[in-house]
Amino acid sequence: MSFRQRSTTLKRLMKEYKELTLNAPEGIIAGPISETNFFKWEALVSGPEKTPYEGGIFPAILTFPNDYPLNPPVMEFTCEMWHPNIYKNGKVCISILHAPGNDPNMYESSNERWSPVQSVEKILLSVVSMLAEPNDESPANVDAAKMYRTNREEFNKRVRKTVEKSLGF
Amino acid sequence: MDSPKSPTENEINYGNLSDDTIIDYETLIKEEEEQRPLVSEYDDISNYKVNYIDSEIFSKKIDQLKKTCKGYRSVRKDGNCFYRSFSYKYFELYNKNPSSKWSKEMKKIGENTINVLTSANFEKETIEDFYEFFMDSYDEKKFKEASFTDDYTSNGIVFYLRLICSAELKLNHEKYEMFLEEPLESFIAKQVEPLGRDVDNVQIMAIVNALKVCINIAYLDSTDYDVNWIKFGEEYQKDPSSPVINLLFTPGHYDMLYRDNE
Repeated sequence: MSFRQRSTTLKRLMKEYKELTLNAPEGIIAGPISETNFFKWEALVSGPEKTPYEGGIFPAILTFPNDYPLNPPVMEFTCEMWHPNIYKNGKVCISILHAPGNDPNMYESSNERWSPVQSVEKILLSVVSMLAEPNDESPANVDAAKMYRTNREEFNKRVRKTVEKSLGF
Repeated sequence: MDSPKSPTENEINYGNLSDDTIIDYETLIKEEEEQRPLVSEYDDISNYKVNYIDSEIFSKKIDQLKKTCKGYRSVRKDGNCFYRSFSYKYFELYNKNPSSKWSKEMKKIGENTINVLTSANFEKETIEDFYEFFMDSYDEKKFKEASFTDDYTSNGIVFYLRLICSAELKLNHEKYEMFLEEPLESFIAKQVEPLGRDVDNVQIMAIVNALKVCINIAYLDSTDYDVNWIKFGEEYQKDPSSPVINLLFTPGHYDMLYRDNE
């Protein structure tokens, strides 16, 4: 990695961190885990109101690539999640997080993709919308998607359990 | 398909399987392509190869090209090929003769792009590093050393060109909206700003109008007709001696083309 690349990437991450601290959107906290490594952030996402995720506070890790913002970070929840667009290992799968050219839904060109004008804030806001409105068309967790489609009551119950767990009950 | 499962379940399972296969295949192609240089060395036009066009038609068309063209450079096939070919050729032409009237005008327009972009509501802080990459390429030494050999810098320049395109579309939307099948904002967010998205004619027109240069594209396809040339921005070619950016299009991909008079 060239000095220039590192400096551009770090400058951008610091700027985003500063903005997120000054004007954090409601229900979202995010920042570097340690001052010595700006490429790994922790985020806390609160479950949106009037959804089964309401009341939950879900921790996640954002890992930034060396060429950020040309490529997007990877976001992984570190708590148990039950959602059609979150893999069972916690990795979030939404279109804004798809690196260009590495896109499992290439035939769906209708979705918004990552571009360097996006930001951590926009990612986190998209994740909140994703919690409120799952997309079961191209699921990351097929079982959750199936349950969401066919047995909403059971799905909601399962989500409520993860909410309780996220709060340490 | 003949399992007793409901169609819904079949859809999900099938979709999931094919996603994996698609990802594997894509990753393979991507890895192979990433081994190639961003921009290749200059080579004689008779060595230009494309493996999926019928060879007889293809060699006939290369023979046609040979009459007026001498060489080519190929660029990596990563969905940024138009922007990369264009910008390489653009800076190469500039650096050939930086003190010419045309080059001075080119640089003046390039310098002003940061103001155009901020007037199209891009935050200066977000874009200024990429503006710097772009401006650096007007320096021959930097252009040769880093601009198109270092992935980050080259992709940064590609990104900056995408923003130039995006700003032109926003600021002069009335010129372009009639060519779009969806609202301008969403077209920009999906098709222009993300890296790796190929261009349609609309993006080419926008780049041409934003940077006020003429692009001449030779279309090399598998049809039995002669090679088709299409000029974008002919109005910017003020006299026959003004430089033109010549590109070579084969289905799904752009490379650089060098005519005999270059």
